[in-house]
Amino acid sequence: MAPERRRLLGLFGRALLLLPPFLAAWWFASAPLGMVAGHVARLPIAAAAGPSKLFRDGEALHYEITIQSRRDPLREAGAVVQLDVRPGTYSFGIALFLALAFAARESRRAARIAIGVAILLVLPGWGIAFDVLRQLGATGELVPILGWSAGFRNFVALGYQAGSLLLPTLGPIAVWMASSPEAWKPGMDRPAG
Amino acid sequence: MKRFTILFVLYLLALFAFELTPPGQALVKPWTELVAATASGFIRAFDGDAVAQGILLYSQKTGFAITIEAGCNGVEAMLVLLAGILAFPAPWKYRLAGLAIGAVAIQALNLARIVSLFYLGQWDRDWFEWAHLYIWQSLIMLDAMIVWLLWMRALPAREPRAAAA
Repeated sequence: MAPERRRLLGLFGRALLLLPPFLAAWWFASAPLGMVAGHVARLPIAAAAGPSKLFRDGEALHYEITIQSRRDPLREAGAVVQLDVRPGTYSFGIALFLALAFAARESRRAARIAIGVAILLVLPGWGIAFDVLRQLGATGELVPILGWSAGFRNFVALGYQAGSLLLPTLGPIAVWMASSPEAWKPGMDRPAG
Repeated sequence: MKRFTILFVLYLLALFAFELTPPGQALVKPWTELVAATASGFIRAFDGDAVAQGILLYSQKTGFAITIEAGCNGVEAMLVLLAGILAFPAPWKYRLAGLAIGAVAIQALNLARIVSLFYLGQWDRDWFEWAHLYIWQSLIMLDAMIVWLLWMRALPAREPRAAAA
């Protein structure tokens, strides 16, 4: 087997071995860590629906949202809605990033790991925000109050799918690849022959 | 690298958006049913218990059932791989080969995911949730990443650009 291929498969193997312990560590810290992304998510929620309060309820984040109608020019309060989100389903990628970062010698740098973790603490805010908006949009009684256009509802659907299916795993991989190109790029620039 | 990143994001968004449209779902739904049927056939080859009905896979003995939804049919990982291959400059012959091999690699691992979750769910629901939500999601996307990295290394070396006269 070519050395480059062996090196990559070795990297994959080490990441596989490191993933379970990092997932276990993430599991214990996931609830307080989820509050960071939960607070980040309050900004788009406020823009699309209304201001919110955030509480931690065990493993879930509990939002209390004061819906402000987009149809009403004064945006007066229309309803107060309470709903829950599980931040763990959006934040577990931190463990994947750490498994990759420690699997490759080139990416075991404290500053890069710290920056990567900081980004991945915030990134789940996307998934959490769109989860909240999806739940709001799926509540029939709120539809006339929210006043969302069909285009915006499609945007929420797409944003939720991306936030739940792609970002939790693609995000950490992209952050690792961007922060440590030498871990996966060596040997790419080969002379023509 | 910047060009690749921009193209990758654009291709991925377009593919993902298409997947969610009715024509996209007309392709994804039969594929998901095929995945369920394949998993059922694989399990029956060893212990004869699983039955597939559409996207539902259930045990006749225990009544335990799972539905294969978006995110569990390997489609998203294949779209990520497709976007990565389209965004990277390569001859079309290599792109098609990479897609074919990558699809097999991703679907093989996805089959392992479904079969393992089918048995894990009958043994312990907490471990099932863990494996379903966190471990297998990570492994499938790691699979796509490794396939793409190996594919890049299999590409022919590029000719350097000629200097301007």
